[in-house]
Amino acid sequence: MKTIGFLINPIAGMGGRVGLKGTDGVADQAKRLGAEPLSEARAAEMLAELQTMLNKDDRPQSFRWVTCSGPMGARALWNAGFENVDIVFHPNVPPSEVDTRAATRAFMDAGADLVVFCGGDGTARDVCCETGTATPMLGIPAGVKMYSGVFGMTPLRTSSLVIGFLRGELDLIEAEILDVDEDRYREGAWVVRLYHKAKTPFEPTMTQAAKAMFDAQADAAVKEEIAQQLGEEMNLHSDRLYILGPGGTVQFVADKLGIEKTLLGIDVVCGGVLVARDVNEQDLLRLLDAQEDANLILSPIGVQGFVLGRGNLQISPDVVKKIGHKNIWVIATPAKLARTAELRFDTGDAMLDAHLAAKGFWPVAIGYHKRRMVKVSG
Amino acid sequence: MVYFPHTDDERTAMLAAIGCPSIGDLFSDVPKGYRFPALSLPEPLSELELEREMQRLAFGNRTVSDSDCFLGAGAYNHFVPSIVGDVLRRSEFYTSYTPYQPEVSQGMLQAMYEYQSMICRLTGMEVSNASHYDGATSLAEAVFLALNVGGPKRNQIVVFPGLNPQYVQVLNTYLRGRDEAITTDTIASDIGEKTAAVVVQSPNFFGQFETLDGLAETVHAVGALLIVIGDPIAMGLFKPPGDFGADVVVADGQPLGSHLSFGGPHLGIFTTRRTLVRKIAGRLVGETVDTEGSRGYVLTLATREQHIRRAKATSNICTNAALTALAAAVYLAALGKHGLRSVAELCYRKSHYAAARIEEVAGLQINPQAKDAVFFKEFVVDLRQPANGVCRQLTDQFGLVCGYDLGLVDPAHANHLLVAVTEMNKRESIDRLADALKQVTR
Amino acid sequence: MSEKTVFEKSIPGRIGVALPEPDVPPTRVPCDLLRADNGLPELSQSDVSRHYLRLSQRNYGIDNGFYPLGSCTMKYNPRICETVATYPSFLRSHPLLALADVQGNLELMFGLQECLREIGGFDAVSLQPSAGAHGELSGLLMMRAYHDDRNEGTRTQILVPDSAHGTNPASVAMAGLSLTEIPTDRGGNIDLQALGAACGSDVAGLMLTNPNTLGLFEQQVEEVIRLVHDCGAVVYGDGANMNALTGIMRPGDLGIDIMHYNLHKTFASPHGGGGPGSGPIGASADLAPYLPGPLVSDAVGDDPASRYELSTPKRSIGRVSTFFGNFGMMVRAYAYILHHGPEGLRANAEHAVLNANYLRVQLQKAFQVPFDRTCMHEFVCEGDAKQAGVRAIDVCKRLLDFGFHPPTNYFPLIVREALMIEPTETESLQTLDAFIAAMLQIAQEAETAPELLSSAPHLTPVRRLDEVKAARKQNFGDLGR
Repeated sequence: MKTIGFLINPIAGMGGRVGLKGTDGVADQAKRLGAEPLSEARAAEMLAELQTMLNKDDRPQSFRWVTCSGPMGARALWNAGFENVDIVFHPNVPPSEVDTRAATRAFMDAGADLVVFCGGDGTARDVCCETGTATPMLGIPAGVKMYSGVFGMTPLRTSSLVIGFLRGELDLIEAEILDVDEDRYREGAWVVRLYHKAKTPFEPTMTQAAKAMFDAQADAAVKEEIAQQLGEEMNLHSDRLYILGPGGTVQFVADKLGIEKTLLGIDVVCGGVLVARDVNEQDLLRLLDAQEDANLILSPIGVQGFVLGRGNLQISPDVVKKIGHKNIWVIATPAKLARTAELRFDTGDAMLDAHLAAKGFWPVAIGYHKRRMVKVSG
Repeated sequence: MVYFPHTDDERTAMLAAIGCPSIGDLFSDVPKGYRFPALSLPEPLSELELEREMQRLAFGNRTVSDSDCFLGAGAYNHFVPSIVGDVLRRSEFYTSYTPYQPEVSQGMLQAMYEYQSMICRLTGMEVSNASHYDGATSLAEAVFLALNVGGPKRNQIVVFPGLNPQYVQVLNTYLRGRDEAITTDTIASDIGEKTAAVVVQSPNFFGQFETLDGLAETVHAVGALLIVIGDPIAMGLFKPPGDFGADVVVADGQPLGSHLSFGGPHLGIFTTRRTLVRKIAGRLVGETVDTEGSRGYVLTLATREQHIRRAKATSNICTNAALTALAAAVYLAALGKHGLRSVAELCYRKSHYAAARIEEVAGLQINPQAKDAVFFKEFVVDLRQPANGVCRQLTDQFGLVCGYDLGLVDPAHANHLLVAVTEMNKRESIDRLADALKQVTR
Repeated sequence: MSEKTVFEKSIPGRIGVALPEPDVPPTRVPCDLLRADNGLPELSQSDVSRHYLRLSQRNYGIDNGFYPLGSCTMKYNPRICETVATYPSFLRSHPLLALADVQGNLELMFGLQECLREIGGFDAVSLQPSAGAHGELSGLLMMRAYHDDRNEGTRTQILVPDSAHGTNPASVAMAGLSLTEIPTDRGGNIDLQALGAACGSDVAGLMLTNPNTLGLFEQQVEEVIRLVHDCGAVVYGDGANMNALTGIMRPGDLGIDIMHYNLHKTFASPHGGGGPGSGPIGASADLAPYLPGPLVSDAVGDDPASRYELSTPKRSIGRVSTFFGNFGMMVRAYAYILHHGPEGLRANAEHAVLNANYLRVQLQKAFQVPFDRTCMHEFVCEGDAKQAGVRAIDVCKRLLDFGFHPPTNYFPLIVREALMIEPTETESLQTLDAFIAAMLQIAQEAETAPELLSSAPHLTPVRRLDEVKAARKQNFGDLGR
C-alpha cells in the first residue's frame, strides 16, 4: 500500500491578486491588502477530481494519506470525502515555512512514497529541502510563481498524475526547483534561481508534430517585429488601454516602444505613455471602469504554456471578463512556442478557463502581422 | 510512352514493391467523386503533327522584316548575335534549377556573378541582383524598397510624367497591397518629408533624356530615394544613371540579347548602392572559396529573402529571369566595350537621321512637346491626323510597321506616333518610312 | 581549378561580334552626356564561346542526370517544345503589333488559357504572372479587391498551413495582408480544429498547397474548403504541385477559388537556371472578374484577322507584367499539352506518383519518413540516416559524388533534417534504383565512415564552399575600381 503525504500552504497565492508577487515573508501585508486564501480551494478542486476518478477506476488502488491537521491538509481531505487519512503533524498558528518543512519531515518518517503539496515555488523549495531526491514530490499549482518543474499543469490535471503514480504507470524524472528571490522580485528584478533538484512523476506530453515555421529567426528580431505592430496599433487607438503582462518577452517589446516596463508587474499604457505601473487587481478594475476599451498583452510561460494563472494573478477572472477574451493578445517567439506544446489558462474560474479554451486553439503573434494557431489545453 | 520510360513489367514490379494493387489505388486520398475527371482537351499530337500545328500558329502572325519595323515603346528590335543563342542552347544551363547546390552549379553562379559585375559597370552602380521578371516588376520592387527604407511616415511616390504607362500600371497593381499614394508630377512641386522615392525614366517613354543633373541632390535633400529607369543600350555610350547619384537603377534587359518574344520573357535589371544591399529583393551571387581555397561562387545573403523576416521581407520573388540574364551576360561579353558603344551609336545616328528625314521629306514635326530635348533611339512624330489610321495604312500598303500609336495611352496624343530606330533599320527602310509618311499624311 | 572571369580574360582591343558600318551620316552627341568608358570586357568570339562552354561544363541540369529536387518538378524537357519555341515568327514578334498581325500568337494564348481552364476546372485563366510567386501575389490582390467590393475590407488575415510553400508568407506580406499559420496534425494534414478556430469574419482567405510540401494529399480537403467558405473567405490553391494532379482531380471542382499553375514545373518549360518561368492564374466565376489583364478572348467571327481579341476583366486588379507575361514559356507549355493530350497528362501524374512511392518505400530501409502514408509526387524523409551527428546537408553533398543532384533540404521546416524528394515521371526504374543504392550506401557510410560525408563532395569542380565567408566578404561583382 502506498503512502501519500499531503500538505497545503494556506497563504500561497495570496500575494498575486494584490500585486505583491508572492507571499514569502509578507503574508500579513497581503492580508491587509485584502488577499483571500485560495490554495485550499485549489487543493479542493484537485481532490474532488481525484475522488471522482478513483470512484470510476476499475482497478481500485489502496493507499493512505498522511497529512497535517486543519487547514494545512486534513480539512480539505475530509471535505473531499477521503477517510484513509492519518494526521502526523500539527502546525503552528498561523503556519510558516518552518511548518512546511517539519510536516514534510513527518511525512517521510511516516513512510511517504510521494509528497503532494499545494502552493507555489516557495512551498516547493521548502518541501524539497526535506525530500531531496529521495522521495518524489508533486505540486498542485496555487502560488504566484510556478517556475519549478514539479507542478501539475492545473489542479485538475494534477489528479491524473496522482492516479498514474498510484498505478505505477509514470516515470520519475529529475526536476528543478526554481524560485524567484521574492524580495528582489518585488523590486522588479527577475532573478530565477535554481534551488534544488527533486524527483517528480512525469507524464510525457505529446510532442506537437508541427513546430513553428520560422524557427531560424533570431528572437530579438521577432520581438522587434511584434513591437512594430503593437506600436502601430497603439498609434491607431490612442485612447485605448494596453495592459502589459509580466515577463521578458513583453518587457522587451515595451522597451522597443520606449515604455519602461516592470519585469514582473502588470503595467498599463495609454496613448503611448505609461499610465499605471505594477498594478493589482483592484487598480485594473478601476482603470477598466474608466476606460473599457482595452487590450491585454501576455506571453506564455515557456514549456508550461501558462498564459493566465501563473505570475499574473492580478489579472483575475473579473479583469479578464471586463477586457473580453477577444482583446487578449498572446505574443511569443517561435523558439518559445517550439518548446511549449500547449497554452494553458488557469484563472481559478473553471468556467472562464473552459470558455477561453473553447476553440481548442489560440492565435499567438510571432512577428509583424504574423500569427500562429497554438493548441490550448482543454 | 516517350516521356515516361516505364514498361508494363516495371510498373508491376514497382507496385508490388509499394504494396499497392494498382496505380489508381495510389490516389485513394483524393475524394472519390472528383477522382479521374474526363478532361476535354485536344487528343495528343505526335511530334510531327505538333510541329505542323505550331507552324500553323506561327504563320498566323504577319512577318515584317526587321529592317522595316519601327515599333518600340518598351520592347526593342535589336540584333541578337548567334553566340547568344548558341550558349543558351547548352542544356546544362537551361535545364538546371536555381543554383541551390553551388558545387555543381559553378557555371550558372559564375555567369550570374559576371552578369552582376557587367550590369554594375554599365549602370554605374555598386550592386546588381541576379534579375527580376521584367523592367516593370523591377520598378515595383524598387518602389517597395524605397517604402521599406522610408518607413511608415513616407508614403508618397513621386513619378515623373514620362514613364512607360505599362510600368505605371504594374506599379499601381503592386501598390494595391499598400496604402501609399502615387503622385505623378514634376519634381519641384511637391516632394517633401512624406516622399519615399522619386521615379524618373531616362530616356523616357518618348525617347528623350531627362535632365538628371542635380536631381539626386534635390531628392536626397528631402530624404527620399532616386529611382531611375534606364535603357541598357544607351548606357554603352551615354553617362549612366549611377553617375548622377541614383539610388536604384532599373531597366528592362530585353535589348541585351533577348528576342522580342511577343513581350516575354524579358529581363528585369535591378541595381543599387552597397548601403542598401541587405534590403534588396531577389538573388545575389557572391564570391567565396572552397575548403581547398579555390575561388567559387554561392547564392548569398539569403536571410534577406522571403521566408525569413516578415516585416523586413522585401519581396516574394523566387523564380526570376536567370536565363535571360545569362543572355544579357553573353551579349555584353561578346559585344564588349566597343561593340555596345557601336550599337548605341548606330541607334543614335539612325534615329536622328530618321527624325531629320521625316521632318524634311514629310514635313512633320518631331517631338512637338519637347523640341530641344536630346533623344536616344525613339522620338515622337506629329502626324496631324490620327496615328491609328496611318499605322494601318503603312502596314497594309508599304509593309512597314511605322511605330506606336500614342493615342492608345492618351487620347490627347491621338495624332502622335512614337518611332523607334535601332541598328536593325537600314537607311533604305528609313527613307521608305519617310516617303510613306509623306504620302499618307499629305 | 577555377575558371577566369570575363574581366580576367579581357584584352584591350578585342571584340566578339562584327557590327555593320553606319549607313547614315553622323550626328553629334552632346559631350556632357557621353561617358568615357562603359567598363565592359573585351573578348574575341572564340574567347566568349569557350568561356561559356567551360562554365556550362561546371553546371548540372536535368540533362546531366537525376534531379529529385522536391517541389521543383525537375522533369525532362521535351526537345520539340524547345524547337517550336524558337520559330522566328514567335521570337521576333513585337508585343505591340496590331492584333490583326499577331492572330497566331493570340490563338496560341487562347488555346493555352482554355487548356489550363479545363485542367484546373476554372472559369477563366490569366497568363500574365511570370512565376508561381507572382501568381500568388496576383491571387492575394484579387482576394483583397473581391472583399473590398463587398465592403469587407476588414478581412485581412490569410491562413497559411505550415506545410505550405515557402513563398506563401512573403506573398502575404507583399499584398499587405496578415498571416496566420495553421499547424499540421499528426496525419500530415491541416489541423482542422486549428483551422476552425482561426476562421472568422477577419479572414480573407486560405492558401492551400495540395498536395502539401510533405507530398501528402489533404485527406479532409472538402472539410477544409467548407470551413473557409463558411466564414466568407476565399480559398487560394498553390498549384506548384499540380504535377501530382493533372487528370487526377480538378481543384476548381473541389471549390478552390483561385489557383496558379507553374508552367515551368507541371508543363515542362525548362527552369533556365532559376527562370524565366510562368505562373498563369485561374479563377472561379466569382473571382474571375478580378484577374490581372489583359486576357485573350475568342470573338468567334468569320474574319481571321480579328478573331482573337484582348479583353480585360471588368474588376481587374490590373497588369502584373508588361505586355502578356512570359509568352516564350506559354509556347512550350502549350506544345507540351497538345503533345500529351488528356490521357498523357494523367499518365504523367500517375507515373510521377508511382515513382515517388517507390522511392519512399525503398528509402525507408535507412531513412525515417515521419508522415508515413501513400504520398503523391514527392515525400519528405529525415536526412540524418538515423545516425546522430550526420546531417541532411552532409548526405546531400555526398550524393553529388555519386553524380546525383540532391533533394531539397531543410524544407518543410516541420520535419527535422528534412529531405524533400520528387523524382518526377520521366525517370526510369533503373535511375531510381541507382539513386536508392547510393542513398543506402551513404546511410552505411554514415555509420562506418562519417568523415566521407562531412568532407563531401570530393568529385565536383569545387569542394564544399564557404557560405559564411561569402556573406561576410560581400563581393557581388568585379566593379573594376
